Amino acid sequence: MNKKSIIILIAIILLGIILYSVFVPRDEEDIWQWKEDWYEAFTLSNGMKVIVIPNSKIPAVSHIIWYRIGAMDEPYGKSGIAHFLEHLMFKGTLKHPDGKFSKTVAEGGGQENAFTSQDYTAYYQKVPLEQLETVMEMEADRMKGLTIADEQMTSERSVVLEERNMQIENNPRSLLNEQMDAALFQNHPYGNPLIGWKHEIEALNTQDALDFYHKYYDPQNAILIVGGDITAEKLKPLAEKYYGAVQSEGKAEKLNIIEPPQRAERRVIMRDERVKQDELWIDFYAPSHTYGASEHAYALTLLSKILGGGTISRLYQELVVKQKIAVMAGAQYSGLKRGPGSFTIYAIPAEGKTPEEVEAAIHKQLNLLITKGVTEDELASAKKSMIAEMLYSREGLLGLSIIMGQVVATGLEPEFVSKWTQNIGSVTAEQIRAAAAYTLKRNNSVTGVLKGNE
Amino acid sequence: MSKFAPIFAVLVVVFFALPSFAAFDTKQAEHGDIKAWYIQDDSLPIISIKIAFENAGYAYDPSGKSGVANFVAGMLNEGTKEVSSRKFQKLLDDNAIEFIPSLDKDNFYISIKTLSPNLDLTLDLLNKALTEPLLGVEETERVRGQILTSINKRDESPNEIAAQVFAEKVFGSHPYAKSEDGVAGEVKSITPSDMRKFMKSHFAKDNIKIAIAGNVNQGRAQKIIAKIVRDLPKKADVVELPEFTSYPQAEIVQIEHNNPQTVVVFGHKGIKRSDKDFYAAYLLNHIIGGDGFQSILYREVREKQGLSYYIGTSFQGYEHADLFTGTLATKNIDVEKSINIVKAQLEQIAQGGVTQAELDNAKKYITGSFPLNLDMNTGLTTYLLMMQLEGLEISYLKNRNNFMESVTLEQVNAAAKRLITPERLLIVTVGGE
Repeated sequence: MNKKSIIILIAIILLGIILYSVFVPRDEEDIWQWKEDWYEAFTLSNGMKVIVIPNSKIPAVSHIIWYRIGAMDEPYGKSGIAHFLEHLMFKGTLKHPDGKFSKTVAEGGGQENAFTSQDYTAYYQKVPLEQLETVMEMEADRMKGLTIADEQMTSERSVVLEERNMQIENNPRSLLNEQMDAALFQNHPYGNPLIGWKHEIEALNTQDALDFYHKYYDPQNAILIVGGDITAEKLKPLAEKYYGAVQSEGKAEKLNIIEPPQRAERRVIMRDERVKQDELWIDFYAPSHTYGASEHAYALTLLSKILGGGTISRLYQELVVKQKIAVMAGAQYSGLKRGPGSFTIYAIPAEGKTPEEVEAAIHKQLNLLITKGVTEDELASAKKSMIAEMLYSREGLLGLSIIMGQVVATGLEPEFVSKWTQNIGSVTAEQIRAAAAYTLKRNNSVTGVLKGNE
Repeated sequence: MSKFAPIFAVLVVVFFALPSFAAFDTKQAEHGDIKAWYIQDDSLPIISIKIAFENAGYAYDPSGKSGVANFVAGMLNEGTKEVSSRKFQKLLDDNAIEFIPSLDKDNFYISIKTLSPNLDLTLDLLNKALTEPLLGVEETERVRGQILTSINKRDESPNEIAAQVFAEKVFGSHPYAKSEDGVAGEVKSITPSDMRKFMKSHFAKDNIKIAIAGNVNQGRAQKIIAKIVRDLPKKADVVELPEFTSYPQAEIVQIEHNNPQTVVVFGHKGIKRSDKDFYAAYLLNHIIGGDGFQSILYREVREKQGLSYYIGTSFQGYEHADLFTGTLATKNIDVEKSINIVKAQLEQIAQGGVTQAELDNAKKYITGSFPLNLDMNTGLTTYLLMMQLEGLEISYLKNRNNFMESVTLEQVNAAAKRLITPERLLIVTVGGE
């Protein structure tokens, strides 16, 4: 079990899930429909938002607090502070010192973790119902009450450096992706690694963490999402009692960094003796649901499925099945962001083939896509697959809570989740072609090649 | 700026009694002499099925053909005699049908997820995939390329190298030393006929176990069994592996890998699932290095010293062997220091035991968190399958917490003395200087 990890992968997977919802009328229509009251939202007296997603399968709840604060909000020269603070949040408060929160959750049979992304930071507990109130009291307490001893900070900083070693330094692919991000975003802080640059992590200290914390951890910057065996009616008085009593100091100003127009194709080539088989990655700077030409976001979602989602996708069928120049190929769109999105294509060349050959074949496919678009058949098939997948995310206590949290934390309204189906369902083939033409341009892109030593 | 939140009184209010809930209600369905265990939950039109073929895991790969079971798993969605590979995958994709094969040393598993309106289609595809696979030349070469790539990528990962070297060191010439993907040279020699032979002899009515959860009732469960087993041969043709008994002596094996961080895997003999001390050992492991943030090793290695982001231990039971293992990853210069802390802690636990408070807290977590894992159908099918493979009672989910509760401190400390033997630790390190 990874504590306090940066759950990039989870974000990608869940993004995938949410992107896969669509409304298709058919005989069993009602099973695909959202019930009107599948969630309830309310706002506390201090401005904090609360969303409840009832699910009575087991007598337990997931309790997740989302702060609309992530790595993109870090001060210059302090990369990694958002994630480091997330670790330090487990150290304790004046009232509940020395990791008492975690101890209490564990003794109640609960599970907990936290995750940081570029856009938000979230803390979650999955607990038996009778432990909910305790958790609410303690989570509300650490919104303003964090204390950090210097020796706790020092040893936790070593832990974070080991986390960076494990996820990035020990892994050539992660190192390449880090370099590509730095090249893709020329002005936006997304160019900094989420976990931080190693030399900057090494210099972070208690004051840096507390400064960031006091500036941004506030009821007006937080959203509470509770999923499970509870209703809004029952949760409301508890939320008001604990979270409502945390005094807001107002919303701290966040920087709003805009990318300049991207004007040149970039290339990042990394050689690493540890690499046994070459890889090719292409990142395109893209609009997201909240940034830039966001009218393309739904189309890009379907495009990633048609172009590179699974084995029947164009890239897999063309490069792996027909041309046999790659053993793996796919695409991924990240559009649920506070800042710009990205559209990523990856492939592993087949034995005896070079990344450059595969790259040429990919661009041929992209040109075909931009000139001819996708077929009605491909579009219908992608939509059909997505509607079914969406149903799976409704299982369990966490799925919908995490989707909802990502949506709201990135600045969208909760209705976004319910309306997703219609919005994806109404995308046309021409819109997909237009979104491809807008986004998949060489000037918008960074090509990354991972190679072993020559 | 106020630094602290207002002080609240600590209030623990139980506002609902704990009901006994449907998630524990395991039922049995039968078709002929084959049974399945299932749990019904009609809140969503989703059905999860997990099946196991016993003695068809990667330790059962024929000699010289390591990687066959894994190759068969990779071919599972590559078409049947009647349905082409592409069409097969399109049917799965369009209808959001998931077939996810997986392997362990002993068994071959398939996890299936589908929407109930698509159940018939799902079962037809599964039946054909198991009994009339296409195993075409082109498809075989494609999947072979992917497996060889995954072997290359495995060799880039210090974690995977450490796990494999550890298995080889422990098990020596016993088939449990084999790797899941196989050896590249042998994977290159595997033919469609090798795979066909493996499927015919390893997928049968007498070695299948079936677990179902979700939108399923007695009738549906019977239909699921009937369709899955319909065309399978009566008996599997497998020679069961010998019991492994020659556990290794203490040793440190260092593998050079040019990384700033060294991965450390350590372990020795463990305990059988059927041992009377199994539940005591389970609780003991939780105290030493189990889930969550409260274990002794987590506290000593991570929290106090900041040496490793991850540290955990577990007892692993195989059909014919059992291990106690742990893993951590620390920067190269701290390897010795970390290992010494682990050894010292294990010695102390073996000799001095754990405290009543540590045991009480472990019980609270282990029993309290158990139902939290039962909100997803896939979690349920995993339990239902494990129960059948281990020969447990159908009422296990209801009684499991009682087994944990009834363990005494004396039993845990006796288990610690018997099972934790730091003087016998085999330690594998993979990293730079």
